[in-house]
Amino acid sequence: MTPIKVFYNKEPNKNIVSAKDGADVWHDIVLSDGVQSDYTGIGDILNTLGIDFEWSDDLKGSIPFINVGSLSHRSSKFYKICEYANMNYDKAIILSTQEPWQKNILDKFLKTFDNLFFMDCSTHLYDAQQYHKRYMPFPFLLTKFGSLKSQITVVHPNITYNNQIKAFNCLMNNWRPDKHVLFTMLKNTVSNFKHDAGDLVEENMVTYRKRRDESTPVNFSYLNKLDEDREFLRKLENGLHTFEDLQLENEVYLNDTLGFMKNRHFDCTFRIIPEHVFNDTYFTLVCESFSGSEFSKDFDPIEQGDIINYIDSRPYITEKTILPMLNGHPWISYAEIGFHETMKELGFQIHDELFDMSFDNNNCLIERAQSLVTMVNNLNYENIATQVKDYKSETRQKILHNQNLILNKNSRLWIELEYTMIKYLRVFNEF
Amino acid sequence: MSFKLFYNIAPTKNTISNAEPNELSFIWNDNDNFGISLGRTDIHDMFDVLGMDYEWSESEKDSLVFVNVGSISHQSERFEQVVKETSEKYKKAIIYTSQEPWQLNYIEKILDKYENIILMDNSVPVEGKQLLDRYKPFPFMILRMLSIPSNIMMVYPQLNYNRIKQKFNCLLWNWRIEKHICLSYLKKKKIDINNVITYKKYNEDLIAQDNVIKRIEEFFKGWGSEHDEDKKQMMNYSKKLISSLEDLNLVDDIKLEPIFPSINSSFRALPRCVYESTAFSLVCESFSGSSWDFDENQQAYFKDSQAFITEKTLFPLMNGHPWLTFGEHDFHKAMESYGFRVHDELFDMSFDSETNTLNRIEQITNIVKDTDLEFLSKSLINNKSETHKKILHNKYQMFNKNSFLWKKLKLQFTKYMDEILEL
Repeated sequence: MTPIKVFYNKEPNKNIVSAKDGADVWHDIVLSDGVQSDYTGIGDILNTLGIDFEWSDDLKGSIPFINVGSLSHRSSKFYKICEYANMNYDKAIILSTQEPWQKNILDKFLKTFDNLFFMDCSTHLYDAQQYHKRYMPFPFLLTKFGSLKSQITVVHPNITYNNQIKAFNCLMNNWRPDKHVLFTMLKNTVSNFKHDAGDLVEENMVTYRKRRDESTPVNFSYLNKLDEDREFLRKLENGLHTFEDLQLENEVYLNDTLGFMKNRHFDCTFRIIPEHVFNDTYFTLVCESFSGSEFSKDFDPIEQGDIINYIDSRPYITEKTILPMLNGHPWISYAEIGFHETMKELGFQIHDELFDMSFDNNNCLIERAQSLVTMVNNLNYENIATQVKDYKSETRQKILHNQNLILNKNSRLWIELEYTMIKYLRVFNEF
Repeated sequence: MSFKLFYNIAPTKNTISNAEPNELSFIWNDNDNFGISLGRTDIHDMFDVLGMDYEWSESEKDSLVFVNVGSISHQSERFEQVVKETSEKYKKAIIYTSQEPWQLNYIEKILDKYENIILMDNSVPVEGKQLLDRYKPFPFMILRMLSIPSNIMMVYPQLNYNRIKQKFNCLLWNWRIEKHICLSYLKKKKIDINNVITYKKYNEDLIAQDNVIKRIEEFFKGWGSEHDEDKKQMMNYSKKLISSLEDLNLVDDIKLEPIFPSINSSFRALPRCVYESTAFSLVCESFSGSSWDFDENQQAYFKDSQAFITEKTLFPLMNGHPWLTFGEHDFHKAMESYGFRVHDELFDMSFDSETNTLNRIEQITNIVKDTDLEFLSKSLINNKSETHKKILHNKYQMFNKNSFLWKKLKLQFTKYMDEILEL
């Protein structure tokens, strides 16, 4: 296969648009001489996937990737970048390796700009199918874990499985409605883990960050079923005023006295969770990000159950689930509907030997969280302790399998990701 | 094909104990926050980085038995003891380290004595031929650089080449004789001034000054100082420096805090300014002691392994910084054989084949002295220059999982594994 040509208009590795245009790329830093680096990460992604490519300043036969980073797809700057791309290129890819976009907005863009492709940080449909020829969701956060240039990743290769003092960890720094929902439930549930226990927050390793921006009201209306549960809605609203920040006792940070990242804690390019978080707990309860993937739910008379059909993309997979897996810690995620099923389809093994996964297909966010919290609170921890301690257990076999899937460059996961990206780029080139 | 990796304790754990009581582990990244070894091995990390399929097995049959000796000195009684016990315990086994290179005379002794033992160290195999069937050198350091569980790597995705003020950086932390010699030449030629240089004095608690002086004398004699007045003068200068040199640190460094041994032992990061304020990295590589000889045409050839490649050269390369290395002879040739491009557009590389180490450092330091900073800066500022193309190319080789480098490494390693299974 001939190498893919990646277009540049300034120099290789530089973004076609800049921060001045609104692009918000994680690695695009202000250098010490005050100049923006204009870094785009597409080369790192292609390298991680093992796709042969070369940089070209000739538009003919090459692909212009316009990396908008975390610029909101609802903003006027996003629209202006699309207008610019539409007018200046025969065809181009509007790219974000950082954020997912929602279908209703994307549809408008796809309709308005018929020469633009949209590639966001979402999970592609099964077998790289596309709901729209010019929409190409891709789980870029997985590839960032395979790229040394994209982020600093800290994996503790030696976590212990026999000194747990708490049931689970649940790290929810940065306020989001979904995190607030889960935290509210944990806070209002008395722990069954031990006698005379407090709530699930007190008894476990849970972090929380208060909402900082109080200028705009929180709209919980998308969390359907709330009308039927006035009491829970009241708890959610009260929590906005009463919950306090909860942080880990021992955070790890980078101390770079001269560099640009003074005392830098966990962030989008420095992925670290302190080792004690994993050593001290049996499993990680992940509160995943929600991308707003659309789906239909139909009753299957043959299976006698509901079938979820994703329309634009599958549930969002982020570092929140990937890091515990890389560190060899059992995990369960509060995420979009069918999250665990999607993980299975990508080759991961889920911990259904430890957890009842029936909550995963409940399409109500609130009920899903409620079922999950109830299930977690009623687990047989003696059984879990035995499972995680025994290296021959199903749990430990799954841990090894999942680590291998991410770390082995030739695993089924990486083959699928490479295939998906190549298919996308072929569709673009043939357009 | 899926290879079977044998375990006797648990998957990912070493087949032998990694530490004596109250000792640190001889395997890197294998201590908890109290310094206690957790018994891990890293062979599966190597398989993962190479993209090779494997599974763990507790049955010796058809499995590869890797006994990871990490940084145990191959000249020590402990090493010999491990080999002996391994030989008695297993039908065949691989004594392995991804951390250190071993020397041929010791390798030969071990292989002669133990017929069921295969030795695999961190060295660079000779192109196209293997001296001994049961010696499998492999450049594990290249693999380690890309293994997330093996290191915490801080790589700058892009450098700003507009801030260059000094010609080079030369990081000589941890005393070794080659590093001391390198600094001696730099100082004698007064090219240490106004450049970024680090140096660490020899450890006075471990070695007496007289012994250090003696080692320097032996080193210089070994490379012909008795018959060369310039070398003799340099030897005397180098000896004098032993007592006058003090530690040279970077003004600022990057640390992971709080300091936990388990995460700091493998933390690889340098401040951005090391690369951005200098035009290139003058690397003083590790010397593995590869054996070589001259053929009938007086051409030097390596017998067991090629010039040693470590993180010292790979780190600047991964960060997009031009590099010039004082390593074993034909070091740059070895790098080229793995698909990397050397910076012969900036530097005269004719020194590379010089087998006399003192002549080589003499030539390298002359090149460093004579190379014009303005010329270097221009090559870096111009993003269409050959230097830039080479920087991009080298990063591609290192980071693209399907590059020539990774295909070659995988092919070589697979060949080794097949050969071992057939033994």
